[in-house]
Amino acid sequence: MNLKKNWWKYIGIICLIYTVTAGLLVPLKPGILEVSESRLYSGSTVSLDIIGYNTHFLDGRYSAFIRMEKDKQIKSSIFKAQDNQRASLLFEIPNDMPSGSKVTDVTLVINNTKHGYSIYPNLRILKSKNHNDENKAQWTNLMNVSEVGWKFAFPYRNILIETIRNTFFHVAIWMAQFVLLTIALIYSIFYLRKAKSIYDHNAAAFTYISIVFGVIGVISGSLWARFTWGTFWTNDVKLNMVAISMMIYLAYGILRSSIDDIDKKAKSSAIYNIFAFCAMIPLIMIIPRLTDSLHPGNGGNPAFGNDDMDNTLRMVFYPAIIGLALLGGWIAQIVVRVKKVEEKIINEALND
Amino acid sequence: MNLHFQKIIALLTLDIKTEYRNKYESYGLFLFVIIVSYILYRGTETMDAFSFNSIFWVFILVMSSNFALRAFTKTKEEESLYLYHVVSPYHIIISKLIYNWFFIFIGGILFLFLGLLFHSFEGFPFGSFLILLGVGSLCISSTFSLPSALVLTSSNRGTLLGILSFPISIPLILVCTSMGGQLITEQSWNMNGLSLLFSTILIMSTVSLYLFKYNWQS
Repeated sequence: MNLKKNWWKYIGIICLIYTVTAGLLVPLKPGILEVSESRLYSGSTVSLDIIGYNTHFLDGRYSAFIRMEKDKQIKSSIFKAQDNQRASLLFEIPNDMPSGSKVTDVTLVINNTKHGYSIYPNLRILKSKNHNDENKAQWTNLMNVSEVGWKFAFPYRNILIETIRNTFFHVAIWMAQFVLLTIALIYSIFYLRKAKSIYDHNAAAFTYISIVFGVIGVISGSLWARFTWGTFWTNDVKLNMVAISMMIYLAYGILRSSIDDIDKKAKSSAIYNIFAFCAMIPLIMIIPRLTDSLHPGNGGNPAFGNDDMDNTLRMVFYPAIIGLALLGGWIAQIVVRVKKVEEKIINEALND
Repeated sequence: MNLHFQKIIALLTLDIKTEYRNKYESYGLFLFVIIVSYILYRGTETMDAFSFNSIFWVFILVMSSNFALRAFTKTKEEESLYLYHVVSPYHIIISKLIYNWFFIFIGGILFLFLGLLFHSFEGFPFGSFLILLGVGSLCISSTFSLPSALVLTSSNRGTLLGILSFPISIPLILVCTSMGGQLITEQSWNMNGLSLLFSTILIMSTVSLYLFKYNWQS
């Protein structure tokens, strides 16, 4: 319990415990899970049955509207809640479409004065041929969403739903892996400057730990992909590049095990580690950004933009990175200590 | 600066002279190219330019992994001890890089020439494909040079070179293949890919230049 020496381990443990508890227990914001119809026709009267997620339809004052643009909206004439998760709405869609096109994408917004608003974006209005003369509905700009105070709840995203919590494990473990690889790179540069065996042990241990982290990252990402994209492995460019970069670091392990002479092994692996890190930067940083990808941050999607991350997610995400990186550093330190003991035993045996 | 150039050119001429004296080694390369082209010609009844392009780049990868080692294995130990006192490692790695590039380029031109001879594709963009081959082979030689110097200390050189440099060169080969395909079908350059190749050449050759001296000292 040496607090002066091991303070970073305690920080890591606290960060990890916080990540696991907050990341798994904090609820999601209310959202709309299902809407009975996705195609609406202009000039008609539609009744929609909606199923909410984490919603409180019986609590507070609710209003629902369909929004095309900021000032073109229609309010539902009836909002009838059956229970907290189910409600039925009645809309009168106007005859004329402001955009003039045949198909218009619109968003269903459900607003609550107490719990804030939630949106469902996958609705379409099709222009119908029959002009309904009894319909007097018009696009208005009267409705506004009500702002409620900040609450510790993760945002609701349509396809992700509860799997948004994997951000703290899948994304954070890749970030932590990158931190560990950078530390390994720094140790390799140290070794080339001053050939001390401790630098080599550190570089190797950090690289091995980051390979393990990479494997965990691939598995967690694969599970996440099963629930959001539908398959365990897709032909996504980021997955391929990550597979190749893992191959590069496995080659590092093979290079280390193939050379017997300790000094030559240390020197060759330090050189290859720097080379591999420099080769990995175009693989992971540049190529996925040039082509289309499903991952955020690639193919023109912004990474960590306001659409993907909000401040509530960041409050758990950054401690997760710190905690995982410190955990990796801790494991690497134990590996290095084992190596040092082995070296000592070998040296004593040689001296006897 | 002038002296550096002279030293690099002297090393290159030394390499090429040794190559010329041991002609059978380069004959091995040419025989390899001719055999592969002939098998392609006999094995495939009809081939379009698009599939030839992908086979071409796979061939470049295999050829460079076979021949990249030769640049370093040729120098004998006494010779490298002599060179150690005369030139700096920068000269050596630059000359080896150019030498590797030259051989991959020559082999690629020969394979391309034979392929065009046997298959006679219509409207094949010969000139721009040659430029792409030049850039791509420089890229591949910059990724193969340092690993081939690294594996010299190990006993199982050929396998280890493949393990070390294949993962790095796979994406480059993929980029080259897609660029070649675009050249053939649309007659246009993929500027993103080109800038990627140039940046890879820049990064890889700088890193090789910096790191080679540590390897050479041993």
